[in-house]
Amino acid sequence: MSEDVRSVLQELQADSSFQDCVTRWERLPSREGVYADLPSDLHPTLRGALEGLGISRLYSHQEKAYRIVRGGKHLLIVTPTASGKTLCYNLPVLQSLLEDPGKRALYLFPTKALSQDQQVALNVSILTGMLPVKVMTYDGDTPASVRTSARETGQIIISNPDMLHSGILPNHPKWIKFFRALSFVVIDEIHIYRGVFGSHMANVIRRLKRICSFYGVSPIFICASATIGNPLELGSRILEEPLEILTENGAPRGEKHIILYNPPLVDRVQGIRRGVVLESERLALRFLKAGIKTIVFARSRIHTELIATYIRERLANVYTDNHRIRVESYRGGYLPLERRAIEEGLRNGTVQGVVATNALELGIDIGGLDVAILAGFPPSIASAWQQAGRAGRRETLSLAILVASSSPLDQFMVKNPDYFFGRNPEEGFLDPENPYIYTDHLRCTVFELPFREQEAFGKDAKPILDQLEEMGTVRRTQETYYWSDRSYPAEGVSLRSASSENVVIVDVTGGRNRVIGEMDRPSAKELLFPNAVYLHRGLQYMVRLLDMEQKRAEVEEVEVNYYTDAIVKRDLKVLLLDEETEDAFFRIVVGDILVRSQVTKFKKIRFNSHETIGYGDLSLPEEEMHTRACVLVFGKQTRAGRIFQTRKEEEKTQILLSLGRVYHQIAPFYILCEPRDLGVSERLRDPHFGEPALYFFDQYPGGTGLAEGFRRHVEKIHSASSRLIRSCPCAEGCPSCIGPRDPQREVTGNPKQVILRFLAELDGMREV
Amino acid sequence: MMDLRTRLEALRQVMKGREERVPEASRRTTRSLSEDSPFLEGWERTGRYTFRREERIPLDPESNLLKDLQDGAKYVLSFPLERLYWFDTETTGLSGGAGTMIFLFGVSRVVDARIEVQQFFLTDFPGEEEFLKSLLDSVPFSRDTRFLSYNGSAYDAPLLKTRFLLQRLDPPAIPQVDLLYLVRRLWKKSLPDCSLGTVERFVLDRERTADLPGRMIPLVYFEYLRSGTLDGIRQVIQHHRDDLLSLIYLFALLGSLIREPSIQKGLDAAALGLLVAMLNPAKGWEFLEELARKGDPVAIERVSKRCRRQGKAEEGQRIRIPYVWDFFPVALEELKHLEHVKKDYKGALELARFWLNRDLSPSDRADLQRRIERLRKKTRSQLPPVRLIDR
Repeated sequence: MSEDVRSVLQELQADSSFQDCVTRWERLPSREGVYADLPSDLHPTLRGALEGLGISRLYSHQEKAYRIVRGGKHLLIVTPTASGKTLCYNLPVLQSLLEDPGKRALYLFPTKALSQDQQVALNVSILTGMLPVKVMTYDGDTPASVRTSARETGQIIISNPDMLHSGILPNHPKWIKFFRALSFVVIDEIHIYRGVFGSHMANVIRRLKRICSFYGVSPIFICASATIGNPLELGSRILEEPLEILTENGAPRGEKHIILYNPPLVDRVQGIRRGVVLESERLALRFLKAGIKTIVFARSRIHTELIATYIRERLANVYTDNHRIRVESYRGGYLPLERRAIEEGLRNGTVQGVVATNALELGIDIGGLDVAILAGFPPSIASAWQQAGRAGRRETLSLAILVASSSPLDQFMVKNPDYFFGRNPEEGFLDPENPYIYTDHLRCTVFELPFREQEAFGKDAKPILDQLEEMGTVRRTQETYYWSDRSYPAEGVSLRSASSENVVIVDVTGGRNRVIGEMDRPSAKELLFPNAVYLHRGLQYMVRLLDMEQKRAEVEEVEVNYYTDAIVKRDLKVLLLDEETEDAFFRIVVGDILVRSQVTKFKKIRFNSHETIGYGDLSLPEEEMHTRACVLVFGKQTRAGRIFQTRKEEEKTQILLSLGRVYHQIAPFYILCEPRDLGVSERLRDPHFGEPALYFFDQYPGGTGLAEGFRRHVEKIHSASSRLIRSCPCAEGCPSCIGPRDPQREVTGNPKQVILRFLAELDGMREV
Repeated sequence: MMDLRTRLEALRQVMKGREERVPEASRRTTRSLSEDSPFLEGWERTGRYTFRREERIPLDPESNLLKDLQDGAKYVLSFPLERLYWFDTETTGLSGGAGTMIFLFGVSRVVDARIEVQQFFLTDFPGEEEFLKSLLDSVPFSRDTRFLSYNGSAYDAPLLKTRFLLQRLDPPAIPQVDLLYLVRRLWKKSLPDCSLGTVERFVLDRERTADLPGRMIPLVYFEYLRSGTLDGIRQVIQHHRDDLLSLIYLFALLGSLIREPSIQKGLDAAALGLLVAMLNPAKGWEFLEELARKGDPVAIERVSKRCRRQGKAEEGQRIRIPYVWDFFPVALEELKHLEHVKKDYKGALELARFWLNRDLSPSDRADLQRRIERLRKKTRSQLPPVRLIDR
């Protein structure tokens, strides 16, 4: 197989039209494994089981992990895919359980439907299955009959944060036997806990530790993270404990080629490139026809289906043997059985190719693939490496091609390969002090155990407890707060979403009544207003009804030649400013703001030509959100402000809009989030500051650390944005940088030149 | 970052309406319940935060109550009446969990031809340990007793255990008998729900006036904690006492039904028959046979099955025959009889094929298909049978 890959590689190297699109071809040489002997104190049963699996020595990092945990320290392992991470935590845990079968361990995975995903259990049980250790999965789907025995006899409980939060902690007395002996807590995929989920998780861990101390135990935490920019910071914020970090990796690796590929330009002026779907399909065919096992990662479910369909059509030629090549698509929404069948096909070789969403990214064993094609860059560098790591799990030659789309993120990445290869992935942020999230968990924790006045829960809990007392939810007496409400507080708190208030989208075409999707409430007002054209899986629907009370939108299939765009009137009000600094360019302020948005109108825009063909009026209630923001103020004293002042009025608007757009798109390079998690608002004359300002705010009520993250990286975000705009080959602005030129809102002169001149002066460079 | 308090002040402006608020007047309390707080008449203080009350209610010598209770003890539990206790709790929550406390515990028994009721009240959260200890002192929790409850095995008993554990006390043994299960068996089909209130109204004919809905009880207690108002608490205590009495009446009714089963409106007669057949076999089977004669399909199936097992196959068939086209369990019994006793494979096949076209559960259908397969093989090696069934 390696030979086939090598010969296609040589072909590609000689192919000049392919080479024209390559912005970087990186060869990572193969690396020998670094090994260590099995620990000498290893229990003979465990040693026997390992040897039964053909493991007679460990990778060096596995042995170190064992020593750190056995030394009683909390550990954070940072490893790439396929480096034997599971053994890092299984080994010390199983050793302890064999020494003392009375001990207990809790494994937490971020997977929502754990029981559906047998893979997690499988990974854990490969080794434990050969040992007298009882492993049980405990989640929302676990039948009541099994629950009791899990609580009483499960030595390793596999669960997720959701179940810990709503099922286990509020009923901890039922788990008394488990908690009294809890010695280890394993948190896998800890990098997933960022933003909203992470802010909740940090508070769930506070509650867990509180219950543990009630039962007189202090378990050792073992966490595993994929490679992100600040694993130690993120891990420490979640655990609030000193952590040993282990980043070395003793696993061997085969030779690996990574190619950054930018599809050719088809229209230089508008900056339009060949589409990522077609380009990925062409590349995938090249490998599949050469008999090479290939995986294509698509950015969306629709892309997954499209690419798979195109590939199958191309392979369907009955005159060649190609039609024997089987290519499957794999995405969320498939039944577990269908998924298992595809995974099995990949392992045993009956399936040669697969087109997948990131559903295949996490720990699912699909055996050795040789080539990974990323159709569009994943939302983060961390997951780009995880997906690229899907090729060449064994010690063989492998290849990953990252095909850039025309989005600003992709274009930045493909044009700045050093950024991609430099060891500098995004940083994860969270904010356990988010007042909404914090309050929710404080309520849960008082429910779980009365709260003594001098106790701490993260920060000082007293102000909020006093507020809860005033509302009658808790009762203070004898220097202790008691839960005094008949409700079960964990029930109303979801760890994953902003609110449980999603709008259900129902297709009612021709009397149908089928739910086709869900959307959070604020977005629904901007995308599902009456008469909006809603696109779903390539079909057009028109919204007939938006009922915010019933949280229901009714849509009907239509065929029209336009789409709609809501005109959102956004009003920002500064509530509190708590941090103010000045950097080389701006006055930077971080604080709490109130965002009021209202959709008052919408535009109908013709496909292709993008001209506005009509308007519609709307009267939807205002949406109000209290959140955290990072504000860049173009103060008169600041460098950006001084230069800005010298510009003509119409240029000013253009500059703010361009910077706002590009910063917004670039921010996810440094902060683990997606553009939609951040809101942006451009103010030519901000009423609060009396000066021009750019607001970047967290789209989650109360904030989840994104404003602080933005503040930390503002300089890097600026220089990356500036580089992106300057290096973009378009003439007048394109979707890959400041956005396409809008003929409706004409600026005198070329908008691209306006922003380029501004940046040149700001960055202190000569005119371009 | 700003301190939380300042942020909260700002937040409060926008947070209006997020929490369900209690009326202004009943908010924050300055009241502290101390040693000399007054309580209701007839209650004795047993500790800083706990009160106890005892009541003796003589049984009406004219009624059958004592006899019914004795029969209940004998038939349902095979346990002496003197060592039976009925218990119930009132709690601060609706869904359980570590934040739900018990503030009122009641236990009753029948001794010397009277009902003795004891109630224990907790006046504030910090007194829980003392409250639980006073239960240990006064209530004879032990393996030699039985504690009868209504939904106690799912709710009250585990909650009590939880409270003991949270106070780091050893939970006592509470040998449980949950009357809810028996009620579900007998009345599930006819009652809108099996709550104690519904059972009282429709089964015991005990109508309460001005009773407090159960879900309001926590709110009343919280209100009492805030303001010291006793009006609501008085109602809660009355409600709780009535619940305890209802449990005794319910148990007496069960005793009389098992001693002498009878058809009553709303009662699932067949279920009663099956229950009595277990607890009081002679009466039970007699009752089931009567039901079978009246055409009750469950009774027919059971009685004819019993006949087969006792070697009275013909009698069983006689009871069954009119119903084999109407009730699947009866048909199944007949199928077994035709195949294994009569060896009438063709007749069995006809009946089986008839049922195959009807609405059956997947497992019944699969069983039936296997049976048909087997019968087919058997018919091939058989002489023309005598026709026994006619439609």
